[in-house]
Amino acid sequence: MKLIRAFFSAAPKYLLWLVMSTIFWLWIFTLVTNTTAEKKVTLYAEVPALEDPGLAAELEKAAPDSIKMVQAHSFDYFVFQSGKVKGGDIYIVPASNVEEYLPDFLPLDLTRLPEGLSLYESGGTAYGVRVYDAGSGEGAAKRYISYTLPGLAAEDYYLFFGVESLHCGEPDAAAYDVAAYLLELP
Amino acid sequence: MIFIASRVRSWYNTGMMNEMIELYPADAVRRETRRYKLWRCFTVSFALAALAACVVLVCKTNTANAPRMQWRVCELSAVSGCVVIFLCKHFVLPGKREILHLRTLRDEERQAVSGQVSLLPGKISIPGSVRIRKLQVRTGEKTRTVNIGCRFVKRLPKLPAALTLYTVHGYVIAWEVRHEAD
Repeated sequence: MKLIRAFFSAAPKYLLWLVMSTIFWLWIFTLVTNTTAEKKVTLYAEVPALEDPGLAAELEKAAPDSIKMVQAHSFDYFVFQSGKVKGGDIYIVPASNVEEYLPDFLPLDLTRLPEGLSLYESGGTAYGVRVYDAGSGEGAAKRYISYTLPGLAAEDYYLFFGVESLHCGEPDAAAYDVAAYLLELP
Repeated sequence: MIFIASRVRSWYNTGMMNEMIELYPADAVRRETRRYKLWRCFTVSFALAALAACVVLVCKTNTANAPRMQWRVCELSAVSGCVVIFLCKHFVLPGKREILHLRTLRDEERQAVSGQVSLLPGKISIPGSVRIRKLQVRTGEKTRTVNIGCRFVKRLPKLPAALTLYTVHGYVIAWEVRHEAD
């Protein structure tokens, strides 16, 4: 009892330490798990559920040597408006929201993708590739991405490339490599 | 921190026995210094080991395990830091204060105060030093207060009692109590 009372007598110091150490280690992990946009491919997915560390680790296998890491994050349109998300390379968005995002997506370079894909076209230009077919329930990387949840209406999902991406052409097309790999993931 | 008081007994022809309780024996500073260094060494070693473990976990971080590692490091750092604060607060710093306190009392001339001794309520923390209690010594019409380290209070005889206290700078360093001989 005396020991417990003694322990709690320094409660403010413990609380201060908890806050300071947590901030410090979060900062360290931000440094360790992040790098500049030139050295990473970032995927944002507006999906009901995403197992982001697993997907990112899987996609890193397809990244060229110039890419140090792949990041995968969930997002929604509200976060997209904040600007940070606009610097992403690959986006997976539901068909119902595509029109809102379209000005921030690049037209596809079809020579860098496998043939026979279902495309999203606007004004005669292909912008996206279908990654989930709501009709058949088939989709890419379903081990990591949940495209539907019970109670939610199923819809198609498409993959796009961000207009600010540094990896969709010169000097490298790492985003296309990663996307092509993702499309083949079970 | 337990001091083993040196007891000096002397027999008088009156059939009474005087027992002298020394709170700060001659080797007290040496023993306290050794105890303080051991606690300090243990605390520093523990902190360094925890830090090394955190660094190892950070180095083993990859894309797949980053969130899990982040939680582990935060938990390890938080728990070990709290343990270090606890050790510092209750073992390292009190030991250091005790040594400084002992050094001020060492080799000084002691004064004897005899009378009816009673314990005053309330503990006092002296900034940067030991925690003390106040003793009131009533000698005839005169009343005087002296200080005693908190950890020695348990060893006082049942108060109020007639005692001879020996003090240095107002701190009790020994007392003498008279017993009936067996």
